[in-house]
Amino acid sequence: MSGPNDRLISELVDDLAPVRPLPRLRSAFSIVLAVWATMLGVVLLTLQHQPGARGLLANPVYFASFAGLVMAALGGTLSALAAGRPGRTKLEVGGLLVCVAGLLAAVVACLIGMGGLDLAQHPSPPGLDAMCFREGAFLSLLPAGVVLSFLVRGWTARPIRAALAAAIAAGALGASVVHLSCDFLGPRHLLMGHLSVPIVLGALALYPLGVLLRRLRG
Amino acid sequence: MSVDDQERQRARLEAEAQQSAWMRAAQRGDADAYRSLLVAIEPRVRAMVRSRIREQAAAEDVVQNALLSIHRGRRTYRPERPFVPWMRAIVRNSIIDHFRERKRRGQREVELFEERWADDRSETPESRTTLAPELAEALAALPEGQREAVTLIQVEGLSVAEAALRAGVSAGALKVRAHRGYRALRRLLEGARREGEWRSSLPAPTEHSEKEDPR
Repeated sequence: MSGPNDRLISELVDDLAPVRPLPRLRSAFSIVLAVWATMLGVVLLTLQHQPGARGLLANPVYFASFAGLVMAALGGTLSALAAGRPGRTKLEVGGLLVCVAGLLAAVVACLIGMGGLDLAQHPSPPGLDAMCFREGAFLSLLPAGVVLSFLVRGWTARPIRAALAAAIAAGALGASVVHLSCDFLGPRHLLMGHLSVPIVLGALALYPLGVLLRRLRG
Repeated sequence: MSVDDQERQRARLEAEAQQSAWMRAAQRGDADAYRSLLVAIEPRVRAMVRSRIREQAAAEDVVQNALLSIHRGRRTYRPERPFVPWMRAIVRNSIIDHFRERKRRGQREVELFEERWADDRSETPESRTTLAPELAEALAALPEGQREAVTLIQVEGLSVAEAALRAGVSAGALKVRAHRGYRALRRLLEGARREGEWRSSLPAPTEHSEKEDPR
């Protein structure tokens, strides 16, 4: 060798250690879905009744917001998982678009259900919004851990975008479980107690998670 | 397609298959295969980078960052997929990172400092000896991390990637340290220069002035 990067190449070779390749994208996606399905099953089975599940067909606002949350969860998960793999940019961007579109559709459905932004017109039982938000945030922790475990082992070209997708996806996965198990189906409550989980998590986690991913990437 | 084209195509496919095999072996920890892979892809990485970045020094930095990224991201290569598109994606991202970072930082202060450093090196030995202690003193006043980053890049002439490996930090962290170091050095040097100008503006002490009563 006599190139300008000989020294760097030698140092990289010296630094070489065996690595286990990341699982396939579809395997990682299936693992996240399995975790979500298990959480959903456990929560629904432990409840005496499933008012949310019954309301799916009866209440169009509820159905639209649930569909939006599922879109956000699946699109965001796919985007976050693809973000850690070089060469999967189209999937990453496409997933994030689906995620954001789903979340927006859910918010718009709730706003239409409320007939505007006047929250006072649609009161929720006291403390219920905060309780559902806490439950949703708590239920987001496990999916967030699973998605992040794949993400931090990957190589993210756009850490902030990956962080946004991962945070919204985890929030939407947790919120969708709460959505199906909640007793109260008012549009204001759906917006403030359920849809706020991915929105707030996305906003809060965006910067610290992005910085963490950037540091891990080097 | 002519026979020559077919031959070239076949040779290219064989080379790519070989690179995929080397990468799989590298993931298992085979150092020889890894060295062969890096040596084989380096010219291709450089060609990709030089097609986008004309400035040689910057291009060389990006080549080294790309090699470092390939090293750090080797876990993300899936053995059943072809190696070259994976490598291209990493190199492309390194190029984009370069342009984004350049835009973000503006590079103004770094360039100013680097120009000055380059000027100092090109000056005559006499003027260099007058400035060297000033630079050395300013360098010594920096915090350890910043001093190490500036020394590795500017004094030892290492690239960012090499310096990052040597310092045991990421390339991004090293750039930040170097950038802060340049700024601090600039402040220190300007301070020293102002002090020198102020001293030289004072009247030179003479026997007459020493004897003179200010009142």
